[in-house]
Amino acid sequence: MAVEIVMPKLGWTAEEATITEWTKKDGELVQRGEVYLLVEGDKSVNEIESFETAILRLLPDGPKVGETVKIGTLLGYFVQPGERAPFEAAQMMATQAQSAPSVTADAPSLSTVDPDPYAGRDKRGPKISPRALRVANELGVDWQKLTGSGTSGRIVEADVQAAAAAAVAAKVAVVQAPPAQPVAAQVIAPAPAPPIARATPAAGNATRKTIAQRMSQSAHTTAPVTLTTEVDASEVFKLREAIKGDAKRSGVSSVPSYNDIFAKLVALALQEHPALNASWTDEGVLQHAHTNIGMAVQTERGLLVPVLRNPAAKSLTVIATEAAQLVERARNGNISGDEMRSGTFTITNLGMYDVDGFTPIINLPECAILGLGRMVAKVVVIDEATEKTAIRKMMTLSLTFDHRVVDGAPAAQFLQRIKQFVEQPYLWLTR
Amino acid sequence: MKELTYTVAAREALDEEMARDPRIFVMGEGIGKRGGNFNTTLGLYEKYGPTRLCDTPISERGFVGLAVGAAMSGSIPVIDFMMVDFILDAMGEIINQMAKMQYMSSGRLRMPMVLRGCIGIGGAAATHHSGSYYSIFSNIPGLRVIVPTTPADVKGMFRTALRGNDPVIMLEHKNLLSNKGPVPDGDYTTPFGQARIARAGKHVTAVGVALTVQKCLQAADQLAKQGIEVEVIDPRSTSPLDIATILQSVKKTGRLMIVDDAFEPCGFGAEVSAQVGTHGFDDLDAPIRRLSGAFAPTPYSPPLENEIVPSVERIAAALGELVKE
Repeated sequence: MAVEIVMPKLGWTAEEATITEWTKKDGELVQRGEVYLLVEGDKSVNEIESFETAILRLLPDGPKVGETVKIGTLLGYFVQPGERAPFEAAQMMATQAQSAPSVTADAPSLSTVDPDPYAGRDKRGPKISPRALRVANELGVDWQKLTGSGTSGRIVEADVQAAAAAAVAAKVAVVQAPPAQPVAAQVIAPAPAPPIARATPAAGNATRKTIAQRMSQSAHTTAPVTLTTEVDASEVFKLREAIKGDAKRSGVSSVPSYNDIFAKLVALALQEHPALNASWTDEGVLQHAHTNIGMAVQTERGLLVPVLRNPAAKSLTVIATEAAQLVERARNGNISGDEMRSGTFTITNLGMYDVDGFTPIINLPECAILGLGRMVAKVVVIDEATEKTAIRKMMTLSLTFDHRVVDGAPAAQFLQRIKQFVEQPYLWLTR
Repeated sequence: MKELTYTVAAREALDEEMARDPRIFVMGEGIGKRGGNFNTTLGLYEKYGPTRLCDTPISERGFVGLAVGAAMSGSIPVIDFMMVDFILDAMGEIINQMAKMQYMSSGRLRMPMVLRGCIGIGGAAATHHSGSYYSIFSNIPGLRVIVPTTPADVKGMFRTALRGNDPVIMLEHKNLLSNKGPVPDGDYTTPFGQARIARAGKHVTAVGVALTVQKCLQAADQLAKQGIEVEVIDPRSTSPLDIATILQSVKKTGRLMIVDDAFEPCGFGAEVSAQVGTHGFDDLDAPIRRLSGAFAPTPYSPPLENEIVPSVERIAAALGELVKE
């Protein structure tokens, strides 16, 4: 039985409300209790949940997203699998009436609405395994368009996964395409002004130009907020000293830098806080499946950001080796474009210049960047009651995030998690 | 850890438990001085004497009834059937008395006893010596049905059977008896209802039972060369059945084949298939397949006998097809 979906009444006095978003697509299976619609009324956005598991069918000529309608306006239907929405039945009748107008006058009029119980079968589309169907729903893949790769012709999980991967790749490609020229041009190109002084083109001018474009695009399009916190880095300091000691004894050359250690622990923290591992796109927030950490490196050509791939899954030694190679290539100027693409988060370190807190600029299309300050010995209060103090290695962390993509509280929680990771490295070393 | 054959490992369990617990005694045809048709009691008669290794006439119903009475009154009988096909003559005692008595007495009577015998098609033994009856017995509440496949498991599970209060049917496949394998030292037991992952893999799950576990492992070796990783599961007991381990494996692989020498209709494979169909439906990426022995009395002719059970080659081919489906 098709169930009508109407604009709900969101308050005693509400007379109308706005469709903010359909969180489920037309034809998608909605589980009982799942949110399928966001509606805005009286300045608050309300999540509308489904009371039953059914397929969402939107009225083809119904109100659009952003439209404000009266309470009780019909928006669509919930139907059972194989069932037609009422508007479809009407459409079919209309089509039938058009295509077969020459019904003999004495034909029983009921014959036109004779429902064929198996008519829906042909419309069910390709066969799909239960597993593939589940994964398709989980990943939001429209399997009706897929073809099965197996000998049975049935769509299997691998087909769905491949489709999902292709979709993600396409999205990421869009996101990572060089910043849209018109925007950049708009932002940085001032109204044609007479040149004040003719400067000699410096080496690495192209890099500088790109940096300029990217930075101003970031500064002008994001809604940056910077949070700072002071952390006790004594344990991380000890950890690195221990690794250094070991390396010296065993003659190993690659010792992880603080940047390497932070790359790993930040990547692990990002996996717990995927909201920060995201990008803003025209279609909304895109959360990245992978966690790649960009490392800001100062070179003669200017600032470059080589990217460490999935440091969460790598040992510190492996990260140290890879990072050393990347940094060397960045400084020598023979780093490839690929090695600087696909980052999902960036770390920048000004600690060596005695900087504590600062306001790093987000490396678009990423949503946040972490600035590392200098590590400095300070007297800190260990126990207020007994007035016990100690000398600890303290450092300031500065997290700039794009408020369009994520709100302050989740960003603060992410920074807090990093603080915990720095202060108690066993939390992530035991992963 | 030592290397023992399946037969010797089972005999060690019996010997050690008999030494530990004077209530245990063995009955059967030719299990005394002769030491058992399959050497199951070799040397024990000399050690424990004619009362505890009690030769019987050919009267299965009689001595199973006797053993049921002995178990009710505090002994722990082990009946050794040689070929387990002869157990069928005692079905009334087994199903109506042995399996039901604990329930009928509200648990006042216990039924600690073990019925053991050899199963399986092989060695041109013809149709009266080739049956595998785990499916029939697994259909009866009150019985525990174990099908150990390795020397270590048969020793540990036989021990568990001899220390429990329930009637246990222990089925030993003829073609596994001379297999050698590592057996842990010391007093260990192996629980019932806990499947063993005999080989880990990610593309398809093969559940064997008795000899087909070994055949599945060999098929998995062949398929590994083609890059197909088969997860082989040995349920070890068909009642209780550890469906959780099988479900977990199917969650990983999405594909399931049950390989069983015995007859297919209403069999072990049907049970596993139904449970996975119910509880693992959304994990299935392909229909569940079964590969079983032919639904026919077992022929004597060796070439025909080979033909009616799933061979390693047929198992490998079927698993390969299932992965591509």
